[in-house]
Amino acid sequence: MSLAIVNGLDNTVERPGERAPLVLGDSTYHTITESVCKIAENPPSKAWIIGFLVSATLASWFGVCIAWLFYTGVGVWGNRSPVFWGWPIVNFVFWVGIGHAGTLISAILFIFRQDWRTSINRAAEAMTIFAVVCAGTFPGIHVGRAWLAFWLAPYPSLNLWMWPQFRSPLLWDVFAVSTYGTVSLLFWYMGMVPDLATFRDRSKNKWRRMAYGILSLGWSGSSRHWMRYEKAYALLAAFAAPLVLSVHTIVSFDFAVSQVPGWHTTIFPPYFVAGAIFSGFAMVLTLMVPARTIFSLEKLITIRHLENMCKVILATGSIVGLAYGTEFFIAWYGQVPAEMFAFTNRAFGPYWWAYWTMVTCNVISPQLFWVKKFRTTPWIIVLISIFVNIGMWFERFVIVVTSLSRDYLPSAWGYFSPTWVDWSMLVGSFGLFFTLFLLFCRFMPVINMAEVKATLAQQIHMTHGDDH
Amino acid sequence: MSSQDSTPAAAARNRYWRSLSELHQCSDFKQFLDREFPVAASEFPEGVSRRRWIQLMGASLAVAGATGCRYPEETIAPFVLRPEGRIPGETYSRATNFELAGRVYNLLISCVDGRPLKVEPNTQHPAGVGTDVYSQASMLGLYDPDRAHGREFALLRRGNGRAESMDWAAFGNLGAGLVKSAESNDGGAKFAVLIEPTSSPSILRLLAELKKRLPKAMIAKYSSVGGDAMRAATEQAFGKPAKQVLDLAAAQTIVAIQADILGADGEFLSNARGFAQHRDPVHGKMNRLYVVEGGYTATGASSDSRLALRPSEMPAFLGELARRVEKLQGGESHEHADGNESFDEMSPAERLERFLDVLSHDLAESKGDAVVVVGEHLGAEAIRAGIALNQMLGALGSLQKFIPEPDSELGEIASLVDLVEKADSGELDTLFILGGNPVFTAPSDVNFKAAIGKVETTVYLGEYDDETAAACVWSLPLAHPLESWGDVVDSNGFYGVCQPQIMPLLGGRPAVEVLAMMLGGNVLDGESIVRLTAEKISGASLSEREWRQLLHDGYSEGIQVAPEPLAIQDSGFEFVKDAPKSLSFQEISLDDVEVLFVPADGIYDGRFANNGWLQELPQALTKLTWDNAALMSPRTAAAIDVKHGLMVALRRGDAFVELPVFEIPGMAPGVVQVAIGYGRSRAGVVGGLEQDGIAVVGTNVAPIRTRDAMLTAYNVEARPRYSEYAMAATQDHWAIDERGQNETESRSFTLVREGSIALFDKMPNFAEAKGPHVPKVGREGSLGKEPIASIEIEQPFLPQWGMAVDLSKCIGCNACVVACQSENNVPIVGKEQVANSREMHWLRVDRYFQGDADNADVVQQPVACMHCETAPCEQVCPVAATVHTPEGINAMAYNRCIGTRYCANNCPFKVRRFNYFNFNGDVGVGYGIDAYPKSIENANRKLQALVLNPDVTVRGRGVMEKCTYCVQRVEHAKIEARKDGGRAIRDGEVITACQSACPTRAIEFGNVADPSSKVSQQHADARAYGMLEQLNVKPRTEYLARVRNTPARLMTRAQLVDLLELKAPHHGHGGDHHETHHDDHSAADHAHDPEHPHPEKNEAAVSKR
Repeated sequence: MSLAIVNGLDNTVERPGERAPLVLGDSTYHTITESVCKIAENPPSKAWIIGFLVSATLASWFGVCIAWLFYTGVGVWGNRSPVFWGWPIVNFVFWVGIGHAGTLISAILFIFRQDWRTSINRAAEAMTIFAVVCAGTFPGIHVGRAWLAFWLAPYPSLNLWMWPQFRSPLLWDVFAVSTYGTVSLLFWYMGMVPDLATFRDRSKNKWRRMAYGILSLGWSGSSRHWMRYEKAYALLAAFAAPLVLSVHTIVSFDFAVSQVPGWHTTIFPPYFVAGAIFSGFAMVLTLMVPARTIFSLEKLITIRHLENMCKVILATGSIVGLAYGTEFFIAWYGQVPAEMFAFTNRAFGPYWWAYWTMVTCNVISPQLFWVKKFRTTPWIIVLISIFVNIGMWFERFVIVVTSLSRDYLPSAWGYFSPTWVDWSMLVGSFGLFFTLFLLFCRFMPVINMAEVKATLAQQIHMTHGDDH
Repeated sequence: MSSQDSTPAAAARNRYWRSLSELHQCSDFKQFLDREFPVAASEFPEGVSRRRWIQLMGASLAVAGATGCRYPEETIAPFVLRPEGRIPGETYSRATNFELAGRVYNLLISCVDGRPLKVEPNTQHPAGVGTDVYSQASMLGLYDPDRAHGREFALLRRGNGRAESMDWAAFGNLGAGLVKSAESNDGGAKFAVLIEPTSSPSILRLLAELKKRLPKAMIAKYSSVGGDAMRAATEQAFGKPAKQVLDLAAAQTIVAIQADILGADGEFLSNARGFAQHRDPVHGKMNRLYVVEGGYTATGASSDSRLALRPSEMPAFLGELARRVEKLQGGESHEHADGNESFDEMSPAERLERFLDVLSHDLAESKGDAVVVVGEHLGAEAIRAGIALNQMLGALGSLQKFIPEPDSELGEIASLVDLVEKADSGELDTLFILGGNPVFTAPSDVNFKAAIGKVETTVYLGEYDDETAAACVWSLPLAHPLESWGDVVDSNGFYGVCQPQIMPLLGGRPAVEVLAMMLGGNVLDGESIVRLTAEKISGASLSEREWRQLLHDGYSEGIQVAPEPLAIQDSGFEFVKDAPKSLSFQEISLDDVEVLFVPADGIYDGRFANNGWLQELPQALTKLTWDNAALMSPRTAAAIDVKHGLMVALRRGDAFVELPVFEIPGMAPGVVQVAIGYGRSRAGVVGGLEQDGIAVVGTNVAPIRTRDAMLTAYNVEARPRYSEYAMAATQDHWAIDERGQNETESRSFTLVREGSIALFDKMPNFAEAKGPHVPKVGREGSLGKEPIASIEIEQPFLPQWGMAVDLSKCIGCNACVVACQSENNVPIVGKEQVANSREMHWLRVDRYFQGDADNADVVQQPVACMHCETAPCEQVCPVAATVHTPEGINAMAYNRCIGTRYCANNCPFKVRRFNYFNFNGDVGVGYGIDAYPKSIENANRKLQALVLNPDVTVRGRGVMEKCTYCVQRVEHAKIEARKDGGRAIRDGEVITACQSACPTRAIEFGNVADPSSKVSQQHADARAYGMLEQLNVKPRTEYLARVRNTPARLMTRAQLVDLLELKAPHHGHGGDHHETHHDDHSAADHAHDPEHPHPEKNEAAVSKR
């Protein structure tokens, strides 16, 4: 079996009439399997062990903080009147946003037949799941009486004889995030079944075989299995695609439906979705670029993949920038005094530093991706992605905190400052996220081998076609 | 809780007082009492355990003649046969009268099961409407476990080591022995008594008896907040010390010159009531309050026109004013130069001249209905000048009366200085101190502590184991007023009895009993002592029925002490000849700062330092809690080179104090105002207890407070200290960023709406015009017919509750804040949490400054839940924990709340409070509980939990809470109405805690669906507006805009601008004054556009009123 190698390793150059290759080097079906499986099969590298220890420590610290919170009360955070929602909600929205890229890549790009998604969708989906785990933690622990958080669920309660209050956006949020989490998990898991079967088949250890055996649900690779798999996958993709749009739309309703100046704006749903995709892609890149080097996956996750994602970041970053501008325009155009003040206060009030950090990171830094050099140089990509992540965290901070800190009654204005618990929980949530992600890298197929092979097959077919 | 209707049926049902003899019908209880109470003192070696407290409660219940305990399983001796007429859990009220902080109160105490719970005004008393912060918070003081009771639960302690102790019986012998030996020792020449000013006839009668037995004994009087200046002035004018009594209700023009008549004054309650009687521009004529002051006081905030002037210039001001009035009265032309500048934009000199001009005309034109009140801060000469001025105005003897001090029968009253001199010279061997903590409050150049060290036997009767107690040989626990027998005479001369509501919780005794014990007479129990006094005053013996009637009503028409007002005795008074000068801010000298010492809003002279409610009470102008500060105008601060939050050092001679700076615009240049009473080192776990390592609260300013500068210190040196200090204020102070400050100023006009009387005359509904144009709630009828309400109401007979707050009457005294805290079990949170904006007050008083920083006006506005008809909080709660009742109350279901806090975010008024921690359990009523490591002491602190109102849920951690319109009182009224056969609830039957507490009756509550109810009438008032009504939240609480009766020539720029708008109805849109959209349809009822006022200042041609 021969492979077409065009332009060496640089598959970012567009050639008319030619489809750029997505698998590079002398990759064969076998080398793909090998390169992916060896990550799970070989003993962990030192880098992985150090990374895991650090992350797990932070994650444990997160747990300790939660215990402290439950023991003492919500006052351990910096939340105060009038900023009744502080960092926990900022973190929640931030992580939910991160959780957007995975499903977008796997579902929407699948529906649009974007084959370049195949090398990155698995890790992106995993990232989605873990981000949703982190996100889901915050609203749960955020409520004053966390042990009663289940009252948010609509269950037929015999002693209360009442349902939750369906007019509240917070309740919609519960439905949106839990649906999204569930569907994403199913989608991710289902897509992994063929690869898990590969892992099972290569296992040399009884326990591994047993574990992967259970997880792979008796996959045999028969055409009947493939046929049903493809159908189910497409169906789930169709099901997941609108969720990508709905979940952050509904998260934005938490703010947009309220009447806090700075929150009460109709632009929020599209602006939040764009922001979510923006931050999600940045997070995927932040993880993927180092991972591809560490696990030697350059041939599967190519520069072209990175470049495509950078383009998405550029597009969504520009949408976000436009949204910021539009907000200000509408605040002025609407001539509602409280609204006007909310926005000028945002940019020039006591939280000006947060606002301008946000603008610098979210609006200015992605514009660098107009330059091809920047979107094809991995370290620059990582740097800008980190900026975007910082910026997107600040965006949520700006929205949540600055709007609340100065609303209608000047007598009730206040200034929020975080406590050590706020800091610990932000850092700790990253610890949890990375712990889960490192475990995933170690034990699960980080790249969708089956689909990459299909891409490779197509690539070979096309190359053959060219030869003729 | 208590229903205070006046129908005969209700009056019969509500007996405020039940006879003690009911108890004696029940011999079991007598036995129980005798057995349990005194003996138990030895049973419990340490403190009051919870168990012990319940035992005390059991005894107290019996004594108080109340019902059984609410929780039978916790009662030591439950009623086997319940005495007739006692219903467990039923609230009943009893009348009492007492004195606190120099104020006389006529009150009703609401009790449940023998436990006093809430202070209400005795509305049937001729003088009593309303309460104040001290009386409201006395309820918490009652349950303060830090009150003196001795480590060994003994009653007395001796010396610093507290080694010796004895019980009251033993002290009876000791005390009587002291008097007896003094009697034989040169007629008591070495015996002295130190008292605080008191109106109690019983105490004075007993002291007179003592004086009779010890003719050479010294009786000294000391007041920590002044009194010497008034004494000196009245002695000069009337020949004997006298008390000032004002009749503000009859005054048309009131001039307060450095006199905080609506704030710190001892006659606050009657002043406030009198003042507010003529503050309704719709019904009746408005009075006019001029204030001249150096600092900023509550009186200044309530003024119609205010001039900031240095105290040192005020005598000259008075002289100049008198000369001008005299000239004008003598027929000099009333013409004066016209000027159109606004008062607040003039130069200081012009302002002074204009103010004097207008004021002198106003006074000269008055017909005996103008009164000038001069504060003690200015000294005796100035007070005398004020008396002379009133004489000139014909107000002396009518609006301003002077009656002899009640203690004048005691003969010569010595001062603290005399006492100290005598003690220092070794001529004293026995000193009896009756309350007041003089060791802490004495001026620094009177070394009282050292002096009493030289006295062989010192006995202190005080409520707390305080600084004075520590310095004395014997210290005796004084019973709380709610545990005491006693009596008072109010300024109208009504005699009132203070009857105990509960047995002394910590073994204290009332002052009258201790005095009687020392005198060694036959009559030793408080009731008999007081009854004797009452009989003496009434001039005849009282039958049991009359006596009971007196106790029941709290007063008796027949028992009055009405001394004749004194007449001027000295010949003519010479006013100061100099002309007053007005200092400009450029002329402030660092070495010539004038410091005004004022009693603290919450803790007075420090005596309430251990009261958490008062420590956490936001002080009127600053909103500062848990601290005192050096208040000064921003320009003064700049001259000293300090800023808000930095420390300043104030030095007099060798003594200095360091205080944080609090910038308050509108204070006179080079004037600093500081509250006394802070810095107590032996207050208790709340107010600071150095020996136990509990931080002292605030700064003691005593070092620079000397006897010649008890109230005002001149020529003080102020120096910057560049260290920062974290203050905990409940509202953002002046020193926020410029953007926020501008926005606050531009917004406050729509939040707290006010206008001059000229504006009101021209356009009574100016309040509506000042806000955004939205359909007014209830315009098409009452709230009850509003769409949302009508959908939800299935029972149309239910009332629709609503509230109205009249900002013209509100003087920002905070009584409502504490009353709400007391009624609704609102916890305190401590300084750190206040600094974190986590205070829990359901009701707060917002204040905004307006105008120029040098000459700012203050507006105040009580804000609690508005009970919006379309409440934004309700629709965002995911668990339906906050819902609307069919009666329109926005209710909180605490046990459904999980604490998402979304409601609080969405509340535009930010009136919701969240329990970030278990405030009520961990801090709250038992604040400082961690300071006591031992579990038994910890348990003692639980005593304070008994102040909690059983009708109101105590909220735990993680739950949102807020004002409920006192739903428990509403429900109580509904139950009563149902019991009466389902009648409608009468107007005025439900009185909320804030409404009841208000001394100016600024708050009305009732059924807004009934057009004849008072609250509906208020809502229909032209001045009524809803705050933030542009959000279509339809608040049920409406405000009545404040009307300032400002003379035309003293109008500020803001007032002139408002007035000018009327002349320019269709001013084009433009300018940067952003207001909400103007709706042309709703502008129909007032043909003007109020939104874009930008006239040049000289355009403002204003007609003279």
